[in-house]
Amino acid sequence: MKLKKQICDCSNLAPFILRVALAVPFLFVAIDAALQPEAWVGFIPSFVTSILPASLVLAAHALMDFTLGLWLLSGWKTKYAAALSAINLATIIVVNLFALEIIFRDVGLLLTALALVVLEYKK
Amino acid sequence: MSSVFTASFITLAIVGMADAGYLVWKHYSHKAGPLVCPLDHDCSKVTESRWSSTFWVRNEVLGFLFYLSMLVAGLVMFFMPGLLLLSLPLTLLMKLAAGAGLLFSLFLIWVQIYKIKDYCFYCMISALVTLLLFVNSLYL
Repeated sequence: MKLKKQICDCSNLAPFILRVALAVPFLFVAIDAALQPEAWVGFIPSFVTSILPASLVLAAHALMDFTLGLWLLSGWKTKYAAALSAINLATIIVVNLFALEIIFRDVGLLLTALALVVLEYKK
Repeated sequence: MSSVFTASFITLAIVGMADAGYLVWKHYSHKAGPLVCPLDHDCSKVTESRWSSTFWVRNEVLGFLFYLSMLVAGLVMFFMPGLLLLSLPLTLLMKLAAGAGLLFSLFLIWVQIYKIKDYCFYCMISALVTLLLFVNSLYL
């Protein structure tokens, strides 16, 4: 306990870790989708690509992920960034249920986003 | 060369830019207010100490420029993989630069422990990002 008091009051550390934990995957996915789109285009559902070009949807989604990543890192109005992240991740999970063995990791990220919403709700 | 490692390298560079950029913004903007440390610690003992500059340039500015150069190098490497600079492959220069950044980070950690006898959360995060950048650069 004495050591804990000497180092920090860590109540703000958990939201910081959650913000970085969410931001880094969003930034990585956005950058990797820009560098090698062929690895990601398969995750776009066919009903979307029947309406819009896959490259356009992928670019728009990568841009949104990149923006969310930077927003989460900034710490500005985090609860809204976390809520949008949760909606984004829930959508990804629902439309990619056929690839559950890959997408199940996003369930963890979704719960991370929800935890951040709860922690930041009253701030 | 795997583009996955290029993407992770660029991601780390952006995270480092955010970390160093926050310190630059807090130091130079009059509207920004004091540093907000997630550990509720007073980082200004470190960031405003006499060790906060190297050759009259503040360390966070040097850090931001370092991460920016890593970001640009990562992008250039992806789009021009065979590029030579000063007759050396760009990937080798990136490894050397990341290694130099890591050595400088280790020096700053030594300064915090033995000279200032205090720590700065964002400086530690920066050192961690630099370590990860160096490890990542070995896979480029």
